[in-house]
Amino acid sequence: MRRDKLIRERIIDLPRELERSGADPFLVDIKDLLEKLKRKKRNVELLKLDSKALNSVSKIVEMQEKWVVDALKGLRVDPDLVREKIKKLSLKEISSVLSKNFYPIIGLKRISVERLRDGLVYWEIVRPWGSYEEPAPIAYKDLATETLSLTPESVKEKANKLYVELTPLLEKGPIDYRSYLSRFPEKERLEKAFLLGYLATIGKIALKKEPLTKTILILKPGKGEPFSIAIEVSEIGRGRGA
Amino acid sequence: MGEEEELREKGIKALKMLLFEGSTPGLKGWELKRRLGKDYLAALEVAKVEADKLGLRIVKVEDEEDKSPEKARYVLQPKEPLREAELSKWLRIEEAAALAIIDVELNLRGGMVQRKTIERILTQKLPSWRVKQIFDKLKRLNYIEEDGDILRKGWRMIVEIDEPGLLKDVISKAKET
Repeated sequence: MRRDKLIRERIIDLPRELERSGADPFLVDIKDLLEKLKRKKRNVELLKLDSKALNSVSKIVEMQEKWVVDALKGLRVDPDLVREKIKKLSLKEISSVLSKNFYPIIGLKRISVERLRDGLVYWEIVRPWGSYEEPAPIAYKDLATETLSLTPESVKEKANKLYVELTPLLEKGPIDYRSYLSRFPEKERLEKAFLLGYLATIGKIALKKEPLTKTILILKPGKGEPFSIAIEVSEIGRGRGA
Repeated sequence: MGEEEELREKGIKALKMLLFEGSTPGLKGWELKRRLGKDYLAALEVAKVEADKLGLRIVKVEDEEDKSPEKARYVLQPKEPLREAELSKWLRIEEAAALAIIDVELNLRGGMVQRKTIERILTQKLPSWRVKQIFDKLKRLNYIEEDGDILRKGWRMIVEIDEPGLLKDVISKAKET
């Protein structure tokens, strides 16, 4: 009880002592003072002292604020003291301090229709990057052409039939595209290749080109960004890959 | 349309113009005058009232040489400082910390400091390549200006940071840790 009384009396005197000595008010640990005031049971006399002590604590906080503002105005802050204090803080703590004193300019970035148009034109002409860069398409005149007798209805019907055939095979694992097509005679092979392309386009199967071996695999559809690939089928079945 | 109603519409238009920024934040007085007419300053007063309702304020940043309202830049700011989590939408942690350190150091040195001095402080906690990146970003965003080897406060550092508050909180925070 006597000790608690003494602590409170000491806190009450602190602002006067700081004023008299001109000491840095930040030498006082406010958090510690408040902790000390929290302790012990209270009677009327202690409650009265608590109120006076809290008043003193608020005076010290005011002195701390005044000290900083005065020091900043007159640039009388001891630079080494501030630098030492900054050194003690982590980057996160410093950034947190900034956020309490940061009033960023508000504004929404916008894009004009003309700029969007420019972007689209640019996208059309820009060359593909890295692995997305495919060889230039073969000139049409060099291509062997073959007419397939297919109608929209027959494509769906035949594609479904092919899908039913493939499903049990795909359950066992990926199928080599070229080996699979090489089983069929030339005309039928072209039709199957077309149907496989159709099934891949509608997402029933996936085709994957291994970048190193250039092997093409038929797979069950999976995750990943889809993109188009060109596959030459005329060489399949002649003992040579495309 | 009555004069009062016309002014109110101009005020709203001014607020929209300030909100939808171009390449540099805010607008110069002459830009507002060209779009709103001679009474653009009265329209700005209306815009201030409307901004206040949204928790925002319009701040005038005077040109260093020409103090006329036409040369000043007008910007929108929140009335309250950011919450900690919101800061990351503007700057990364290390960028914000570097900005705070540069601001404090510039205040301690009367507004000018050699770049290598700041680099020495920042490289105590960050790799030098990152420090260079941060300098470039803060310069691009007009938080700092570089004249040869000398760094100065950019106009956004002056407008966006409550400097006495920052220094006080740096000292108090260090006391807590």
